[in-house]
Amino acid sequence: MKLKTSKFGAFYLSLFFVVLYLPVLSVILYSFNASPSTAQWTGFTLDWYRELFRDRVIVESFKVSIEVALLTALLSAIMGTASAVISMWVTDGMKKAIQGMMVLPLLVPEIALGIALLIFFNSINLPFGHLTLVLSHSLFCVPYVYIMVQLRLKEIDRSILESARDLGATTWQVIETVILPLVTPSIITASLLALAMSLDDVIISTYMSGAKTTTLPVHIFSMMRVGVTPKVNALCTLILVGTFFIVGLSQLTKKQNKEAV
Amino acid sequence: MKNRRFSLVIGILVIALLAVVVVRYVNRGEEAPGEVNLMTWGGDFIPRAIIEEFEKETGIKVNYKEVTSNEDMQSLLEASPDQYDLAVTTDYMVDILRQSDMLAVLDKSKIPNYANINPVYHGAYYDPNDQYSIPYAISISFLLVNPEGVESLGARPITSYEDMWQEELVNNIVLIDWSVEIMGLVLKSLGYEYNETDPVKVAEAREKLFALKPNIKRFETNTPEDSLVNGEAVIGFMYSNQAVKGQQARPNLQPVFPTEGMPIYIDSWVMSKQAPNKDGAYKFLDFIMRPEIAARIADMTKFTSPNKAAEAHLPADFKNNPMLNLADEVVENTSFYIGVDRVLDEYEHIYSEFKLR
Repeated sequence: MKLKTSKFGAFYLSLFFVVLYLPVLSVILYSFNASPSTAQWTGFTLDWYRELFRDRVIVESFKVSIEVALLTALLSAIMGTASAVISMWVTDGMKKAIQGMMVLPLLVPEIALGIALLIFFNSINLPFGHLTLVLSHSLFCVPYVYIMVQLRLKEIDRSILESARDLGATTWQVIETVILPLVTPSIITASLLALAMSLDDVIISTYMSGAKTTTLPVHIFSMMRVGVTPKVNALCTLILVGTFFIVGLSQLTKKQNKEAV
Repeated sequence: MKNRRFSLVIGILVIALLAVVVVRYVNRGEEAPGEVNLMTWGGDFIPRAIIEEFEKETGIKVNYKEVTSNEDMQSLLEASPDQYDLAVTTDYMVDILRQSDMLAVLDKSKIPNYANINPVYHGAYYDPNDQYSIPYAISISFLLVNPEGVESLGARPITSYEDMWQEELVNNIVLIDWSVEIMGLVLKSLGYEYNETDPVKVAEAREKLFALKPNIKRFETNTPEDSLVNGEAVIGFMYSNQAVKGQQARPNLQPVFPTEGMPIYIDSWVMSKQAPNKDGAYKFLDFIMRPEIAARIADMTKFTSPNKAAEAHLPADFKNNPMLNLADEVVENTSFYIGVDRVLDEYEHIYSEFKLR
């Protein structure tokens, strides 16, 4: 009986993964197709990759995306960790309030958030560009850092903190010498997640990038009217490789995190 | 010791972050006077090479804001009308922006090359007096047909939508997957107009649509031409740029402009009422309407140009392609989808019933 279910489970899972990854594989395959159409396979080529690196707009918007994603990851790591650590010392009611406020940006539809931020930044006269992109991306990335760091904080044995205080450490010293080293792996994992999410975003970026900057996902989506070339298949392949790399890295740190405990 | 280093690293990172932010902030101060901000579809909808030539010639820098939908352009223009000079937006959105008083009346005396625009594009419903918009890129949809395939199935040659209902064509038609488009095709085949609201006519169209079902092979919006190229269908209803690609891959495919009429989509230049650099914007508009520039844009983007004078400068393969260099008779037999919001729910409902049959 047990064997039967596990066989079915294996079948179900493999079907699931085939459905999930087959389209992804076809993108990779067609990025090497000599014909620009997906109707025929006319031979292997690397031309699309060559064209990709020659495309100034793609290269530039990629740089913008990476810069924004790195800054977003950094900013949300700092803010998310700070709020998670601070919420250790507040009352339970306050903690619930902080938690609720943190989750809210994740529940609001992106388009509403984008337009609200557009109107807000406009009214305080903040010029649109890298700064608004980083701020708005951090808005939906901070909650992830907060949640992940908080989960880790819950696992910490309170008695460790109390003994640190008994030995004469100030609150700041407790944070600096005990808490932060313990949560660092969670912070790194969460920042990598934030990095990936910032790189992914289209809707908020459309509204936040202003007249002069373009991020890579916005550039790709905006190409639909003109028609997408296989260059984009090549680009998607590279992004996939990059994403798998980041995810793999975050899994690795997670594992180390577990081993450290 | 280790912890001290840790907090030092965090401290340095925070300072670095703040420094970068401050630098960015300072760099993005007031707009330089010699810049034009335009907003439209990305890719090379307005070829960068052309923009660079304009920048070189005039010293005016052009910032190209890419967006993914007409609605995005609308929200951005409404929230910050003083940030954008020009936008290229689709017909119905010109109508919306015009009616919400977002657009500047264009001063044609500053755009001498406006005279190059083919009069067949004047007076469209979204701008009846041609005050607010200048057409830029035109596309239509029509039938791409494999005549040998139709013949070998024993069907009559295709000249109209009506011919698609022949029994012999079973499982041989590919269609764009959008309710308004397909209902429009059926309404036209009945001799009615697009986006009909009269319940009797809509019911009639519904019946006729259901009768087409056995002949449909696939619904495909992104690459319908592939079905004709690989031979799984002999007729496809698709956009002009897709038909062009299909014919390139399989030269025996032929366009058929259905006698009942076709839909047309025109993307037009509009100027924000509060445009910060109107003079620069006029210079840019005049530049891209030069005949040789308009011809090059058409060739690069593979959209039909409304610029009559550009025809002489088009490369032969573009000029002789009836799908790209549209004849005036073809354009005269086209109409816009007007008031989609009025019919969308009902058409979507009928369409999903049709697809589930």
